[in-house]
Amino acid sequence: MNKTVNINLAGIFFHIDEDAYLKLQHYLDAIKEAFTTSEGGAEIISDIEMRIAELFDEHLKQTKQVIRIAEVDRIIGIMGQPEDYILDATDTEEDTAFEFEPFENTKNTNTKQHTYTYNHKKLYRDTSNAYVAGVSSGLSHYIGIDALWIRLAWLILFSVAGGGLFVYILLWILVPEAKTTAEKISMTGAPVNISNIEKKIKDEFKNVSDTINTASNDINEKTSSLQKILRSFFLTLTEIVCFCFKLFSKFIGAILITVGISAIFISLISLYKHNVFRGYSGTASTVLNFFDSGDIPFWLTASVLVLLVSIPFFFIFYLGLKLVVPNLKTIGNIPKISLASLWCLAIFGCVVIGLLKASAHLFKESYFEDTKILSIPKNDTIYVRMAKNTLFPSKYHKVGQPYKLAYGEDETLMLHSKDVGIVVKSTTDTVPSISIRKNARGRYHKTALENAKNLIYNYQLNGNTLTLDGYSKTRPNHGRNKQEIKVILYLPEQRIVHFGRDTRHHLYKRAHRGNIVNVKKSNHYLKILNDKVRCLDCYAK
Amino acid sequence: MKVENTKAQMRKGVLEFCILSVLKDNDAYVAEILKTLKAAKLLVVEGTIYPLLTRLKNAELLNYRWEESTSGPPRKYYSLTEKGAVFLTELDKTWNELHTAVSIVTHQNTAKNE
Repeated sequence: MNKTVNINLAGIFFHIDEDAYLKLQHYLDAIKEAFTTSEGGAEIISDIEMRIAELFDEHLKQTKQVIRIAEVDRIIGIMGQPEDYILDATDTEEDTAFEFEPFENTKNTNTKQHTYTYNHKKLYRDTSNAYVAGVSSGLSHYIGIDALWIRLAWLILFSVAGGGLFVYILLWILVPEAKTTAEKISMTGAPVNISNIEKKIKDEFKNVSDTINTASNDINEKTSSLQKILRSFFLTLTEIVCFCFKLFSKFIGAILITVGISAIFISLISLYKHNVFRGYSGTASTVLNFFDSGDIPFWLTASVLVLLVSIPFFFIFYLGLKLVVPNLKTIGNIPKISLASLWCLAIFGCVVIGLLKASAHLFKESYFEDTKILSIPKNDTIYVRMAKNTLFPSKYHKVGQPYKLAYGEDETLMLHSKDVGIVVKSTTDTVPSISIRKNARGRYHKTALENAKNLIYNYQLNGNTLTLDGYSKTRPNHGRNKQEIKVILYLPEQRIVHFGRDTRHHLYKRAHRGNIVNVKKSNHYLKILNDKVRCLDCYAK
Repeated sequence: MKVENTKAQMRKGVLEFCILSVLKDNDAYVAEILKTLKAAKLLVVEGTIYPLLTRLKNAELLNYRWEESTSGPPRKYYSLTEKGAVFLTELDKTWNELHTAVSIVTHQNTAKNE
């Protein structure tokens, strides 16, 4: 029985017996030792490791699962002991030095311009680091900026202009996915970004330190100490730069976290407020009013809106958290994808609700109540007043919202609408009369008419005072269908009428469609003439 | 002076020439180059080739690209650069001259001995 060890050789996973592992390690160490001094040593070592992995792989296909010591021996036999080819390497170096030199001198001007084909960067989608389709991480390889910033830019683009989404989808379709290793490498190319510069500098320091280590026996201590000072100076410099960059990214992260959390809280709180105090008139409730079509339950509309707002802000919050805590454990792909699809659903829901809302008010219908005669003694002045109204206080009449739910006299919840207008017309009849016109909208003509019919509107006549309600009522399930009431008063010519101050919110601004009393004429005594009025006390004031 | 050393040095002298020749018409990855060279008994141990390839690449005579393999790790496919091609024709010429020169000299020697 043998204990086995797991190793990763050139990116490939192998089970290997412990004794075989020790032998292989010893062998590779010997190679490393032999090549540290020669140029391109690291590359040679990785090439050799790759070849060994290839040979192991071939062997495993033929036989069993585990690499045994015999196999390692066989491979060492094939590859040869480092001494064998190190001797070769130094010898050929001496030999070829003469052959290479004249050639190098003649072609020296060309060498600088030469580039390797694998250095050309190509744009691929990097699906191994993808959040959605790898567009951002692919772009980050191509441009050389951290993917986080690109994702952030996308989020901003999405939220500011919807066109960003279109561009993203276009890139998703057009840019190929990096599938093979060759594609993955050509995708990375050699981007010039801060992290790479840092890496490069670090690599160079490593090389410097390697040469110091290998050559320390030969070189005197003065140069090495000078190099050490220089090295430590540049190391601290890079450390300072790195620290500043990290600090900056943390600062951005903190801002993002704050923005994300507060946006989510605000959306939740305004919804809660709206739910508890239906009368609250903030922006959130205005938005909700817009979406509340009456057909769709309130909770559904509200949750769709909350999802729509909070999911993008959650991702902003998450990005910020990632900036602050770089080694944050990822929330995993399933939650990410489900959140994203939930968001898509919310968009879809909003569109559906919007369409329903639009179609709910497709048709407008009017319902006329029979004209009723107002029995007011013949020579009395007619006074028109509005009934006292706590639902829609006169002070806030213009800014308040048009609908309110409240309990009526019969203890049932009713939807009250403030849209009540007064139209005054002159008539040759000798008695004044009143007609109520109820308007409402609906998805079909029939429902619009139904909605109009269902409006309840009251007025009272006490002696010579006509008191009008400032609102109409309907059952809440008939919804908000742009209900409006037009009170049409037919007043005989030569009668005197007085509209109280409180009627000014219900009178029309201009005299039109036969209306002869406008807002300016309220709180005055008016004499009805043929199709016009004469103000009796306007000069007095 | 050992005969093994001399033999090895003779082989090494032509090894670079041979690697470039293998890549003359087709790109190849290391295992393919090794196969050809081992079949011709130019190589005893595989490890020898890696320092040579790296040196040729650093001299910009060779170029390589990564390619995924159906089995095992990704492979480095080597190809001749323009500079490498020029270099190879030069070496080719020298080799032919050397070959005739060596055969003339050795032939003379055997003729004298007889």
